[in-house]
Amino acid sequence: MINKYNSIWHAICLKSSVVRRRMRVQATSWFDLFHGHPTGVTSLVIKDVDIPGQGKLHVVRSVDCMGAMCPRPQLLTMKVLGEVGPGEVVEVKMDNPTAVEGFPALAQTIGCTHLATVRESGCWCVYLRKAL
Amino acid sequence: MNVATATTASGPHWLLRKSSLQATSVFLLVVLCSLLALAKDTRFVYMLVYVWFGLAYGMLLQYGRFCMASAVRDLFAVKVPRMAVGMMIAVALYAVVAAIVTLAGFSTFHPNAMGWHIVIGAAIFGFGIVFTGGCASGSLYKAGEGNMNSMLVILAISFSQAIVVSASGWWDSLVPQSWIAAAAAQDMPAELTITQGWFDIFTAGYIWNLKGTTTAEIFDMAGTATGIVLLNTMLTAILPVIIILVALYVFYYRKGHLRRTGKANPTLRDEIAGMWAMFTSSKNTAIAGIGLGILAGLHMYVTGALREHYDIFNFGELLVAMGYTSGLSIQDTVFDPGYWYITTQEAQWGGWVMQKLGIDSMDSIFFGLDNGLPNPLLNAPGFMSIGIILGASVMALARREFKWKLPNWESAFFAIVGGTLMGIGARLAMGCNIGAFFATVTNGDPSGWVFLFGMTIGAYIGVKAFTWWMDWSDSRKTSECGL
Repeated sequence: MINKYNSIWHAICLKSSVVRRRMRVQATSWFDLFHGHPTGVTSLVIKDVDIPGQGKLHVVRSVDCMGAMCPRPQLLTMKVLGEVGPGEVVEVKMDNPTAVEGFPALAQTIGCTHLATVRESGCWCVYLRKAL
Repeated sequence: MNVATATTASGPHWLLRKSSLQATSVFLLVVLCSLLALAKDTRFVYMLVYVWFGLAYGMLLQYGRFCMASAVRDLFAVKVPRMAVGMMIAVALYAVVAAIVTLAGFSTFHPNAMGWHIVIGAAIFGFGIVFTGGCASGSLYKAGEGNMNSMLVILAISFSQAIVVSASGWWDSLVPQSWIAAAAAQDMPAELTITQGWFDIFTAGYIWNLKGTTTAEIFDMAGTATGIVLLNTMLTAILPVIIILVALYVFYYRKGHLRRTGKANPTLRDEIAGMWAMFTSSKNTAIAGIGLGILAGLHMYVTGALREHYDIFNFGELLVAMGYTSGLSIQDTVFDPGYWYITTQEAQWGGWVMQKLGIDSMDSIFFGLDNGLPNPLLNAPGFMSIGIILGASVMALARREFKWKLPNWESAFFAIVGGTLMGIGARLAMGCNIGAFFATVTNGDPSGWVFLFGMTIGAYIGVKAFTWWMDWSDSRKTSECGL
């Protein structure tokens, strides 16, 4: 009888620890969405990106604007475009739909070419080419 | 410009996607709640009008990524007129529909008092919106996209307004003695204690002595078709819109457009083509502008018609008739603008929560005399704001753009400080960019242009401050990395 109760108790403990662990993982993954994600990180990258309808693009800089509110994505992009050479391609990664909408108009204003807006899971990548 | 838009995500048919099903669920939830409200009392249809127009506003705002904060901010931050153009399109269309509604006798509009408070309040509001990343409506629809930063902004707007309108003590030293004397001379019930509380003194001693009129009223033509169409619509709304659009084209768009099209000596035809290109540079925004303008006018018509149907002047009368007497002002009224409005109902949310926490503010003019502090479940314009959040959620889910986004410490700080400034500014100016600008200029009240002027000054200073902050924080990070 005692063994039977023990095994039930062990099963409850095991099950609750699994549930607790699952909840902890879920909560931490949820908080990972925001805990101090450094917005507006610009990194020097040299990579080739295959864009449908555009072919291969040679990207020289990438701006990470995940989680950033306007006008940070726009201001950072302008700053980075000021640092790269004519004709070079910059990638801007954003998850702010309002900012994404404004990028073609921004490119027009600053004399760049808006090459593509590529939608990925949970974000957009905008590719801009600095004017020659 | 060679634009390519592509997606790397693929999956089942869009109707069967999880996000589409969630969007449908949110929509059906609103339908179900509406039916339950009607089953309880058909007179709740008055409140449901706010809900459904809010839902439609939210969907359109999200569809066009219609951010009125960016309309003024982007002119200085990045020199892009896209959103300013969208906003002007919405103003023009709202003005046309508002004229029809006024001619039909269903207008619910009341002009704002004209004075320096509008410029000061609007400037504080304009400064705040640069740091929050959205105006009051923008924050609502962005909250509907899952942006918790915007939810913080809404909280900050709600509580800052509630505190501002009910604060007394040392705050009272902020107002001049002449206002206290003017407030004391007003014949008001003692329970309002209008000589205590700086906002009460500001309202009774300053605002009530100012005049708020439409252009038609200035020329004694308020009730005439000529006054409504020519003075209120054409002169107060359409003409300034045309001037602003031409200015936006000349100062922000023309140079780039002519360079792109290679026209060295443009003809009038080229200039008109350039203007058209400016209008259509963002189709989603232009479509949202058209939709919002028409809807905002229709909203006023439907509410006006319902008031006529129930023979009421204010939703408070309907609430009393339905047996809900709690939270009404001493005039048995509640906040019920009858058109698109944002900030006052948010102040009521904050005031209601504070009341539940034991901080009663019904002795203030703002709540006690004018707007009341109804239960949020009976707050009709409050449901419009909730409708905007839900409408934006439906649209964002349907377009797979919904994403829970939690702020980092910096953006949370900006949301709270910026939202607080927006709340203070909105109360000083007697409304935000919707209630004090969008709804006013379209109904012939020129005070809205004063608000836009103040908001533009605030946004300009805000952009300078934000740019300085970005440069300073970047240089600090660089020096830390260097160490």
